[in-house]
Amino acid sequence: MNLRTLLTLVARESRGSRGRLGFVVACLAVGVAAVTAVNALVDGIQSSVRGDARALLAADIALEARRPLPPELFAYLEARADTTLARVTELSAMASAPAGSRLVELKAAEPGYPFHGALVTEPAGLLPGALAADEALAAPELLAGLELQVGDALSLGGNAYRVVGRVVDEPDRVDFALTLGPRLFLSPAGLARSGLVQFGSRVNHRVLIDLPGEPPVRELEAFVRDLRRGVADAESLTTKTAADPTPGLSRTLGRIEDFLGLVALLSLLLGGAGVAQIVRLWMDARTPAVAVLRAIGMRPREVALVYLTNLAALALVGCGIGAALGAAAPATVGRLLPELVPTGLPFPWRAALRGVALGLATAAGFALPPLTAVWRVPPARVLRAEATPLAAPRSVRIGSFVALFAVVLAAAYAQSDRGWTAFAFTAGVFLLAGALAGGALCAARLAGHLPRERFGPTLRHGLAALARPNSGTPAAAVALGAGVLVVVAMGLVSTRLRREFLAGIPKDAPSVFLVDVQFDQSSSVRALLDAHGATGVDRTAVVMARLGAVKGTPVAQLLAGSEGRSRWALSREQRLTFADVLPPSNALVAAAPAPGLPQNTLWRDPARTEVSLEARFAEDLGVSIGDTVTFDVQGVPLELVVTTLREVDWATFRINFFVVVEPGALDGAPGWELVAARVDAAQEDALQTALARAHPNVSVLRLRPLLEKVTAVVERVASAVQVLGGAVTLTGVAILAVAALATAARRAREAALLKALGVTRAGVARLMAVEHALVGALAGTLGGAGAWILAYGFLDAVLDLPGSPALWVVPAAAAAGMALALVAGSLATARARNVPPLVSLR
Amino acid sequence: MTELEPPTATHADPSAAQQAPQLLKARGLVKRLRSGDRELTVLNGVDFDVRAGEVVAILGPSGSGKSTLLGLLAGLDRPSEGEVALDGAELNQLDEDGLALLRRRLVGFVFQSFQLLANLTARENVLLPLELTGVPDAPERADALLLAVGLAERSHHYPSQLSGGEQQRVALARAFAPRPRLLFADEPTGNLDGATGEKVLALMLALQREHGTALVIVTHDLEVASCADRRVHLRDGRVISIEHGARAQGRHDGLEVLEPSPATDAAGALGSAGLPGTP
Repeated sequence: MNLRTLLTLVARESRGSRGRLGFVVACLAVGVAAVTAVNALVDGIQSSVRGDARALLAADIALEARRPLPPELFAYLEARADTTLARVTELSAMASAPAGSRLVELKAAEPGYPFHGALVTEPAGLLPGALAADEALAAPELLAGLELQVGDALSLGGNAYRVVGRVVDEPDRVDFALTLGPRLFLSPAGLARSGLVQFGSRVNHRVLIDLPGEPPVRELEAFVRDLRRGVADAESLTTKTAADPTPGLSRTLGRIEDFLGLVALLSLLLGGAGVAQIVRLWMDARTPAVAVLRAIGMRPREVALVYLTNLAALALVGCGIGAALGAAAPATVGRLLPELVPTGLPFPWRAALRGVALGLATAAGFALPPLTAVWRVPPARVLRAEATPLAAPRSVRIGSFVALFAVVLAAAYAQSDRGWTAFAFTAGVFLLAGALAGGALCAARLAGHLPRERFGPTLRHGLAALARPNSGTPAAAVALGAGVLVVVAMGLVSTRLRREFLAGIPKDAPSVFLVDVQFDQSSSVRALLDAHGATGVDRTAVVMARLGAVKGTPVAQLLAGSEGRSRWALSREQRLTFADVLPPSNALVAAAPAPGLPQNTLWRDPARTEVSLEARFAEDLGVSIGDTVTFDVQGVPLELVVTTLREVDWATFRINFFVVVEPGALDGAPGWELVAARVDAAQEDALQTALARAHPNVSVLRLRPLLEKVTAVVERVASAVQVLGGAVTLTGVAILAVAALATAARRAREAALLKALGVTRAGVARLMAVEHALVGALAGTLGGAGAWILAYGFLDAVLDLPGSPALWVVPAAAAAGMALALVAGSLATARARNVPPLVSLR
Repeated sequence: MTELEPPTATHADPSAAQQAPQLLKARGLVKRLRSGDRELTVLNGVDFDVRAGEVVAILGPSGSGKSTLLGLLAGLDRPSEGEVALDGAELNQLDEDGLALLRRRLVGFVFQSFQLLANLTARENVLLPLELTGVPDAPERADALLLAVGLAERSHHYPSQLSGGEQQRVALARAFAPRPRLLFADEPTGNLDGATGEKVLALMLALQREHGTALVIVTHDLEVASCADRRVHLRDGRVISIEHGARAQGRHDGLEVLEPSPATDAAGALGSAGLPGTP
């Protein structure tokens, strides 16, 4: 058979089944629209979330050190054509004015800063890089503390600077570990003029790097790897990238990406299941024609090729329509929810092409198993309709399933980019489909063994239809059940995620942190807090320290081979505290044996100096119970043995510590008190002014802007999940309806026969309704149960959100499946019910 | 409508038919079918031969195994036991693809229920087997055949727009289009009224003669069977008699009718022609 003949046959074959094949186009269009929309939205949302992450860093990559950055680093960076740099220098210094003096945190930044995010100033649009050498931008609390107005002058290192504006918000001030005072911005020339940067001063040197466009995570990681290879000293620099501005945030984003990728894939496979169902029905309907084609000498593979080509053409149309619809999603969502997806994104070609490719592959993969029916049609059927079906050759049967498996695997890989995830997902999907089919088969068997005579004729017919051989019940239950499964699982997961996000920031979270409260200032600060209506005041002693050694190995040695979180854990400046008992919102997850002591006892070994570590932090350090860690407490080494590991509920936003040391161990170490409190927004300015006057050394850190920043990101992600969940739910319902329609269409001829036997139209409708309801309830139950298990596993194992979803979803899914099958079924059989009884005689 | 020519002596003379090369040879055909828990023996040891250009009728009551035998002879189905050789090819040795290619090359079909493809026009139905074999002058051949069966005017109609007789004429054109050496007809007039059936039969025989095609007709209509050179009677899956048919006897309305007599039915056929080992 040459190509021309093939195409001629394909064109002719499509004529007879246009209505039915419209389903294929619709199914794929819906599925591909979902995949394209999800991918395009994920890209769009990622770019906006990534935008947030970049704003938190004000750059794509930041490198910093407590000493001047090595010249070879700049030589390396400047040699790369793709980078734009801005140097940022921070240090603490005393600023004075006629009303007094205060410790301020100076920050000088070159033009370009901030590359991402916005520096909010009053008046608007001021940037440190554009300031004159005698100008400064000051935080409102500094102006309040020094009783200054914009336009007044303050003194730094004996030089006068005129304050030209206020700094309301700076994008990259989220890490308050180094925050010692209110912010004062200078230009690099202004900082040089102050003469404060001298040998021995405690200066934080940073270089911000901007890369062209929106570099993907991989590119950022590659950049850092290259840098570490290219610059000898780069190992000792602290490196942050927009992909990982803070490990916690990136972990959350990573989970969300996983979740969205999985959802997109499931919606695509749902479309595939719809295609398989339709192809199966198509093959059923074309069996007589296939028999004729085979009788007149067409080989099975030629017949299959005709149908497959036909399907590919339809799939292409469906995928095209779907990709076009899906590609419009970011613009549409962006118009409705501008805070979710930035407007003015370019046309998502990548997502559209990917949608078409995945759609075509899915259509082909899912069409192959039902297309093997061609091999089973006996040519002898042209003589006797009841001729015994043939067995498809083993190579065809196995080959079609291998092809389907390969397609799902490849699609999963394309979506997740991770081999193991793709394989686990594919295996899971096939296991689920197998479980659904097995469940349906068992239910059909069970229906066959029920004493049907005891039921009325209507229910009896319904049960008989479920139990009869080749009833198609398993296939229908898999298609319907898979749809229910995806929709319910989506609902469960997104509801839980949203709740988790919104509950993540408790209403009683503190709004201010007071840093550097000296122990002798404690009671006076407390009195001021009370005077300003502060509630939930929480005070903790803090000693700053750096890790010196882990299990006896110096940190400098460990840093050389470390990456990511572990590097971060090793190199950050640690805040140590001491406590007698386990702090609230902490739970012990591991402890050294201590016979006779209550289980929750924090300090368990009187003979040694103990430390309690947060479990993940310990994991990052690579230590467990019984290991030692050595801290360098301002020059004094302190060796501690790990005797407990704690899990901390960080979501409370209370003061919590990775490292809690046994009381007494830190006696004599220079420290201060960290105070957290909740203060009304209206009282914050007054409190700040009062504190600045009474205790100029105490810094007030307003948590509200930071909380609002975090909440905004979290809200954005939560609405993304909601929007995508909604889109996939709609897809699921649409494909579910198509599957139900297709299932119901199988029964058209039977209606004619029943009418010929004297059953009225209403009677036929009732009989069919019972059958649809039973199949729907079965599929709903199986799908609901599967969704419950899937959601439970995903939330617990992947997202670390324990607790079981509500069990009532299973009966609810059964009821919904039943209702849907009833509606779709009665719509589909509307025509069948009007078929004249004569049809049965033909 | 084409008027039928009187049958030639060659067709009527069994010895002449025997001189033609053997096209189909079946030995010891048994077909068992499962029906629920039971196994039915539909055919039980049937031998069958067809020579080139010969017309053979298979007669018998409903359920006697006529259509099953036709399916086995044509390679549409496989016997439980026994062998069929078509143009020298052992069908048992061929897989489904091999059988398909053999049917494509050698065999044509006419069915009781026409079996036209509903989504193809009359002309496309006729074109289909020609396109499969890659005949270069397919359109011309299809048009000529449609003209011959009197449907040139209706060649662009779909089967559903044609009467039963017209559909069967299209089926004839399709069957003869690739110039098969052997045509199997399963109750070709069974779905047609008497007059239409006669016309279709006449047309089929005319085309058969014109193309020199061997023809195997399954029927329970004696009038149809009377046109055959040989009539093989089946009952309960066995050949109970073979008649040699002088197609020239008892003509009326352009058709030759053989009045079967108990004598010919019982004894005349057996051993005279078509069976192995008989002269």
